[in-house]
Amino acid sequence: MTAQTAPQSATGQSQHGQNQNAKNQTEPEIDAATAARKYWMSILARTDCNTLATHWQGNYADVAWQTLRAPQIGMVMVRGRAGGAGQRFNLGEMTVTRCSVTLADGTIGHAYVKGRDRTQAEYAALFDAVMLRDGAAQSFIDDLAQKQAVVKRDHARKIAATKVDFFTLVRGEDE
Amino acid sequence: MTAPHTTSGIAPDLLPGFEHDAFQSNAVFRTVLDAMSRPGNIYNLPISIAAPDGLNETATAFALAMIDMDTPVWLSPACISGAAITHLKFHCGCPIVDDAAKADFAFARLDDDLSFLSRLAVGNAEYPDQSATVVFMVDAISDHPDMILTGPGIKETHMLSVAGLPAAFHTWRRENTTLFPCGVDVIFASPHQIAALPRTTRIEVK
Repeated sequence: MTAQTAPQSATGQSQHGQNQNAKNQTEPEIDAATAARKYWMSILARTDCNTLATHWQGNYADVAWQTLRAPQIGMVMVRGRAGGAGQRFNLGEMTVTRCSVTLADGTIGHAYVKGRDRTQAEYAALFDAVMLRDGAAQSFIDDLAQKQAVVKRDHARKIAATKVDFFTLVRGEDE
Repeated sequence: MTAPHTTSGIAPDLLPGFEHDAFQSNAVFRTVLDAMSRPGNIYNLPISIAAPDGLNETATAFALAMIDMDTPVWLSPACISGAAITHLKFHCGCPIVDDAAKADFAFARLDDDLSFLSRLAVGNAEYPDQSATVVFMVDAISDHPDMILTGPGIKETHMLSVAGLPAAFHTWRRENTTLFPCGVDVIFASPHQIAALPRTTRIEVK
């Protein structure tokens, strides 16, 4: 499997056309439903397999579902911006696992998670499907989001404590 | 951690692809390779797979094994359907084209208007591999002596019979044979069997 252009970015470009190339530099605009899905998919993708599995077995063990696309491991190109806001550049490739499942009522859930954990991708796709169907796992997602935010803040605080500010008192060429 | 427990026996809008991607696409690829190497020999589809409206099982398995995002696909009016397009786009990621001339793979049935055959890409002298492959979905293939095949991959002669093969096909095929090394390869896909007629095979119609 090789990296594929996401369908969203492809349609986004055709809609904007060539006369608005500057527009392509910004993120494509998305509606509220897509934004909400993007939010829970990203939370799920960052959650470890055990947490997902335990919650699924405890609450949704009787949900009927089928694999649509068995977990596949592949590479995607990660892009960054110079200085966080400048020109786009290719940072490097990373391993991702993707999976698609369908519930008995036809709801389709997708997941892309980093790394090679097939089971994590499967559970993430299942939770995506459940969230699409009736949003039943909203409180679980919110809990996860809160925990992840705490971890991120603690990490940022630790890093911030080691920050060094460089400044120049006198520069040679001023003489 | 154990994998979540799956439940079978449900029929969603979007059908599943290969159950074991690597092994099953490999098995189908091997079957297609054998069929192309031994023109007219009939091979059984080694796996079973769900087929969307418009495609049969063999054609679906062929598509999932052979087609990816770099191979545009053309579907004839008789086999184009929303389900088929969704299925191919989801599992193969391939572009679906309106013009048969731009396709690497064309899917059709024998009761289609066969004039599209002459628009298919035949490759060129430097790159004869840039030709298209056409997959005909048929009801049945047998070794009844309706067609006598000769050419590379056949020791002396080989018999093949395809249910409902129209005369227009043979007219096109005679032209196609003169184009070598260019030309279009043909695959016949009955629901559970596959046979191939590469561009080099000469056909004598009984």
